[in-house]
Formats: sequence, C-alpha cells, structure tokens
Amino acid sequence: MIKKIATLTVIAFTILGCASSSSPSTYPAHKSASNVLRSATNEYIINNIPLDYKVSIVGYNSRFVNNLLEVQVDLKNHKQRQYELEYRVRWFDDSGFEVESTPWLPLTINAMEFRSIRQIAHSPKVESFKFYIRAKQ
Amino acid sequence: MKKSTIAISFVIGAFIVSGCTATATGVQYIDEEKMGTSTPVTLGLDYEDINRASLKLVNSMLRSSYLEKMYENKKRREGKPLVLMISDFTNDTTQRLDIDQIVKKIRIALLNSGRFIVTTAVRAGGAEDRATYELRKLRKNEEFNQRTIAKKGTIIAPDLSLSGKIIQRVTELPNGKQRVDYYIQMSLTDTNSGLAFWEGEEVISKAGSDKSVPW
Repeated sequence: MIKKIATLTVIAFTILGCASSSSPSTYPAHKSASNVLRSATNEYIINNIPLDYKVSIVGYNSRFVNNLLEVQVDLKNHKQRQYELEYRVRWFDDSGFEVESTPWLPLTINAMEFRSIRQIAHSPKVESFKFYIRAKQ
Repeated sequence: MKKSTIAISFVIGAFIVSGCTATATGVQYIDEEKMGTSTPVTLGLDYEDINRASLKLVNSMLRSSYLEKMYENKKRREGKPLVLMISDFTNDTTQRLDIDQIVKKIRIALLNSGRFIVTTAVRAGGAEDRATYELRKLRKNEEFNQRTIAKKGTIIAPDLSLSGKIIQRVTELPNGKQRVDYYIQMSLTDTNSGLAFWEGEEVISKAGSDKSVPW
C-alpha cells in the first residue's frame, strides 16, 4: 500500500505563466511561438525520481488557440516494457486560482515510446496549467 | 448446551444487525482522485466513459479553426457569441441513455469558453424550456404588467445545431469474451448554410465476459 502511495502523483510538472524562456537543465529547452505566450514568469518542475527513471517528461509546449491555452507534454518511456499511467491537467487563471481540471485520464505508454499529450483549456481565463502524471491506481 | 446456543445466536444476531449499518455495507463516496481511473464495472456506458468522451469532443471542438472564424465574424458583426441549439441524437445502443448526460458536459464547457450560448427555446422535438413560450401566452393578460412580457420577435434563432448518434457494436472474441464498441459521433451544423463545420467521433471499447450484458 505504502509502495503504491509512493508512486502516486509521481511527476508533477508545473508551468506557471507558460514560460518558454528557461527550462531546467535536465530537460531540453523547447521553443514556443513567443507571440502567443502571454507571460514569462517563473516555472518549476517537481519530479519524482523513481518514475522518472522509467518514464520522464522530455519537453513541453504551450500556445493559445482561439484564445484558449493549449498544452503539449512530451513523455518518453526509457524501459523495454509497457506502463499503465494516468495524467491530469489543472488549469489556473492569472491570479493562480484553479479554473477547472480534467479527471485522471488513462495513458498506456509502450516500450521505449515517445508520446505527446495534448489538452486544451475550456476557458479563456486560463493562463497557466499544472500537469500531473502517476502510475495507474 | 442451551446457554451456548443462545450465546451463538446472539453473536450471529449481532453480526446481522451490524450488517445493516451503512459502514458495514461498504457504501462509500468515490474520491475525486480515484475517479476516471477505476476498472470498468460494466460493459455498458458509465459515468467515466461519458466524462472522458465529452472532454475529448469538447477539446476537438474548441480547436476547430472553422468555428473560430465563425465566432470572430459574429463577434465583429454583432458583438455576441454563437447561439447553439441541441438537435437530434440517435441512441442506437441496447442501453437506455439520457443524451443530456453527454450533451450537458459539452454545453457547460462551450458556455465557459465564452464562444457559445445554448438556446433552450428550440430543440428537436420541441422547446427544451417551455417557459419561453408559456410566458408569451400571457400577452394581453390583464393580470400581468405587459411591459414585463417579452415582445414579439425577441427570441434569438440559433447559428449552429449540435446533432449526434451513439452506436453500439458487439463482437464475440476468440477467448470466449465479448467486445463492445461504442461510437459517439457528433456534428455541428451551420443552420444558415446547412454545412457541418465540425465533426467529432469518440470510440469507447470494452471487453468482458460473454455472460455480462452491455446495458
């Protein structure tokens, strides 16, 4: 049970203000179309090492489509086995208040697979997001 | 001997009584953290299937560049969002489905996006909210202040209509199980031109024992 809990919310990947200017050194910097990004404030990544050893976030991108924030998160499976994961996105307004969130969504990532996940906010108020991924519960 | 029999029956009785309490029946609230990820309990369409399918359909709808152009045109012309009506939904499954379960989530998301307003004055098969028409019947009713009664020609006609179909297909699998596929299809039609500006399909596939039934 404790082991299972330990794998909960394994990677919380947070982008505040959807900045594209600086990325942590462990992740490659991704170029976003700067004209569609509204702010470039701080960003941080909380990463869980046990899952990251197997599956990790290798990049992200964000843009405004029809005035709605769209995000793409790139995942990579480093192992020769399939993993059952779950992810969700929480959307925040410019004051940091949560506007909406998706339910946990299932994701199967095959051996050594590179996978991109796309989600779009449903409200024009959304300015930033947090992406969560965990092992299947 | 008699005493022990009585004691045993007391214990059994206590178990039965405690079995009737809410905690012992195992009824519990489903935590939000667990929602959307639990193993399917039915071959039919459940809450989580509907939740997921409507989320994906809305995502696709909101990305549509045609709809964005339409919205921009109307906003420039009238400064108002697009008006959407809910049209026919065909349920071609063995389940008794309330289409509003699926459509409501889509309506909420579209309303939140600020681009769409759903009319309840028109719907396939009659108005969704009859109050709009019932209130108009009060014209010339002396009991009502006529200034507060809606004038003629005030109901807004829809720009778009949302229609759809849910299809179910059952297939026998070689391992003795059965596979059930649900196709949730939706179209958004421009009511002026009759052209479908957006189409979306979500497929939900489930497999289970051939003894279970998908309804």
